[in-house]
Amino acid sequence: MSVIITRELSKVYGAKQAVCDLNLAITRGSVFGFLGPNGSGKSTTVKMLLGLRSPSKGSAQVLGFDSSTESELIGQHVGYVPELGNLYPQLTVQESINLVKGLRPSWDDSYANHLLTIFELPDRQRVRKLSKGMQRQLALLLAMAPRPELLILDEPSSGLDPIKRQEFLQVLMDGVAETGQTVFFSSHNMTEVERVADTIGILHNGRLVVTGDLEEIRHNVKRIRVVMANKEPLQLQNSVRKIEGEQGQRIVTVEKGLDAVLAELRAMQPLVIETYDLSLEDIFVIYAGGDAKCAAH
Amino acid sequence: MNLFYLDHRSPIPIYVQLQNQIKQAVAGGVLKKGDQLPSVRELAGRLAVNPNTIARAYQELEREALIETLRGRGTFVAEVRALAPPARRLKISEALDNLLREAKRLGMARHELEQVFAERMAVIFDDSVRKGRDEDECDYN
Amino acid sequence: MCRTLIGKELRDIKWKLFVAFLVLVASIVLMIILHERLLELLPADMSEIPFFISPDMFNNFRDFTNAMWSNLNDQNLPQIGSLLAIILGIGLLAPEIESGTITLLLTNGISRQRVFWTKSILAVGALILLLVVVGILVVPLSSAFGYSLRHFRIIPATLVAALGIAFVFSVSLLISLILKERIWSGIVSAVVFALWSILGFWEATRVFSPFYHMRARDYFYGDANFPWLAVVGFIAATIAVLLVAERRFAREEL
Repeated sequence: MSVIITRELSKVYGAKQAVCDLNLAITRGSVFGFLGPNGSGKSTTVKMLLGLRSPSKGSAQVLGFDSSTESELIGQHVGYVPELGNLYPQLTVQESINLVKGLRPSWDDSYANHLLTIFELPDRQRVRKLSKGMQRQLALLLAMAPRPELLILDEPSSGLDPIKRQEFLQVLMDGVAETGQTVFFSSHNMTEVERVADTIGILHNGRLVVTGDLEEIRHNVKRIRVVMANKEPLQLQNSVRKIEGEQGQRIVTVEKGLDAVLAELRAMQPLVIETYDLSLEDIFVIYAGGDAKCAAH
Repeated sequence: MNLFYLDHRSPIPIYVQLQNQIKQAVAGGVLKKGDQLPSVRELAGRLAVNPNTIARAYQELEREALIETLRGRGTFVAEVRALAPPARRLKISEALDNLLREAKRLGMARHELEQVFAERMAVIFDDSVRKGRDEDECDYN
Repeated sequence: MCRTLIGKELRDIKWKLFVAFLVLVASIVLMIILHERLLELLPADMSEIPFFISPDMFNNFRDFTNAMWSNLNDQNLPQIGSLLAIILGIGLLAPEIESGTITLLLTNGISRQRVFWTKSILAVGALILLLVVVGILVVPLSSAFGYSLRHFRIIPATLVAALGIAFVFSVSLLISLILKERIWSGIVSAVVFALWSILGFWEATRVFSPFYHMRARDYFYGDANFPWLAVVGFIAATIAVLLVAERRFAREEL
C-alpha cells in the first residue's frame, strides 16, 4: 500500500534539471529518509508532492490524490513542515493554533495541548518573537496535531539545537508508534536518519541514485581493504561499485554479493584483507559524491 | 526505567543491541520474572528510535520465549535465563574478533599475542594471583 | 472552515481600513468647519476671483452641497480611496507568497481558488462598505453642524466611486502578482493610475478614465441620469481583472 507514488517526476528550470525522472513508492507506516546534498532537488520534490510546484514531466500521487489537480485534498490529510517557516509572524502561538485548528477537522485538541506542554511554547507570544527553534516546534505541532496519515517534513531539525532535536525525534517516534502514520522527511543529518528511518532514498543532481530498506543497504554496502604483493591494477570478475587505491593497497566498494567478492579476493592471496561496515554517512558520500548526470530532455 | 543505552555509531544493529541488553538485564537480575517491559511506543519515544526496531527486538525475544505479551496488559519477562552459552560465546567472539584484527593490523605475531593473553587471563581470572598483585595492576607496560 | 481564514484576513486589514476611515471622516468634518471661514474669505462677486479659480469652482465654494461633492467625491474619495485600494491590493497576496505563509493555508486543505476569492471578496466588500458608509455619514455630520443638503445624490455618487475604487484594487492586485515585489508593485500601480487619471483632463479622452466616471459629476449636478453604464462597467471590469489575477495565482510556483 503506497502512500506516495511518483512516476518519472521531473522539474526543469530553464537549462537546469532540478529533478530527473523520479520514481518513488513509499509504503504506508514506513519512515522514509529522503537524503541528498544541498541543491539536489529534495525541496523541489517535496513541493511537487504537495502541489505547490507543478512538474515539468511525470506525475505524483499522495494518498491516492493527484498532486497537481487535487492538492487541497492532500492538504486535508497531510502534515507539512517546510524548511523555511511558513508561520504568520504577527499571530500569537494560540492564534496560529486556532487558525490551523479551524482548517483541519481532524485536529486533536488534547494531543495539541500535550505537545504544547512538552515543547513549553508560550501561548500568548507572537511568532516573530519566538526563537527559531521554538518556531520550528510550533510548526511541528501544527503539522502533527491534526493526526495526519502522512507527515512530510523538509529538513525538520535543521536549526534546532541538540536538545530540541532530541525532543523532536522523540515526539515524532512517539507519534509514529501511536498512530502508525507514515513519515517522509528530507534531511542531511545522517545520524538522525539512521536512528529513525527504516527506508531511505538518496538524491543526487535530481536523480534517485539509491533507494531501499536501510538495514539491507547497510548490510550490502561494504568496503574491503586489500593489500596485494603485486602492484598491478586490480581486476575482478564480480561487479563492484568502485575500486580505488594505489601501490598495492586497494579499497573495493561492494554494493551486493559481498561474500562472492571476498572469496574472489581471498583467492588472490592478499597480504591483508579486511572488511569495513559503513555508516550511513559513508554510504551517502559514496552515492552522492560522484558526478551523476541527468539525461537531457 | 532508563535501562537501555544504544550506541548509534556501532555496526551492531539497534534491535540486536536492545535484545542483548534486555537479556543481560534479565540474566543479571535487574529485570525479574513478571516485571513489565516498557511498551513499544514508550520505548520508541524515549529512545527516539523507529518503533519497528523496538518491535523487532521484542518479537525476537518473544520467539525465544524470554518475554511474553499479554493482550491488553503489556509485555512481561517470562523466564529468567542466565545468558545461554551460545549467546555469551557469540558476544565474546564479537569483541575478540575486533581485538584480534587490531593485533594483526599492528603486526603482532601469534606467540606474542598468546603471551599477552595468558598474562591478562591470570590477572583477571585467577583470584590468588590477583590479591598479591593488586598494586601492580596498572603497571603492565 | 473558512471562518478562521476570514477572521485572520479581517484582522490583517482592519487597521488600514480604520486609518482610511478616520482620514476621510476628518476631512469631511474639517471641510464642514472651514466652510463658513471660506465664505468669509471669498469675494462677493465673480469679477474679483483670482485667475486659478474657475467660475465652476467658485460656485462650488459657495454652495454647501456642491462644496461637499467637490471635497469628497471630486478629490478625497478618488485620492484617499485609491491609495487605500492600492495598499490593500498589493498587500493581499504578494507578501504572503514572498514570505511563504500562503503555503500554510494551501497545505492545510484550502484550494488556491478558495484562498484567492475569500481574500479578494472580503477586501473588495470591506472597501466598498467603508466608502459607502462614509458617503452616508455626510448627512448626519452635516446636520450636526447645522447644514442641510439640498439633495442626497451624494450617496449614490459615492457608491459609484466605491465601485471605481474596487477596480483600482483589482488592478493593483494583478500588478502585485506580476511583479511580486511589494515596493515596485506599489510604485507601478501609483504611476499607472496617475497616468490614467490624466486622460480625465481632456473632453475627448475622459471617457476612458476611471476617475472621471468615479466622480459622477454630471449626475451629481443634475445634468445627467444615474450612470448605470459606469456602474456596470466598473463591476464587469473588476471581475474580469480579478479572474485574470486568479488564473495567474493558480499557476504560481510557490
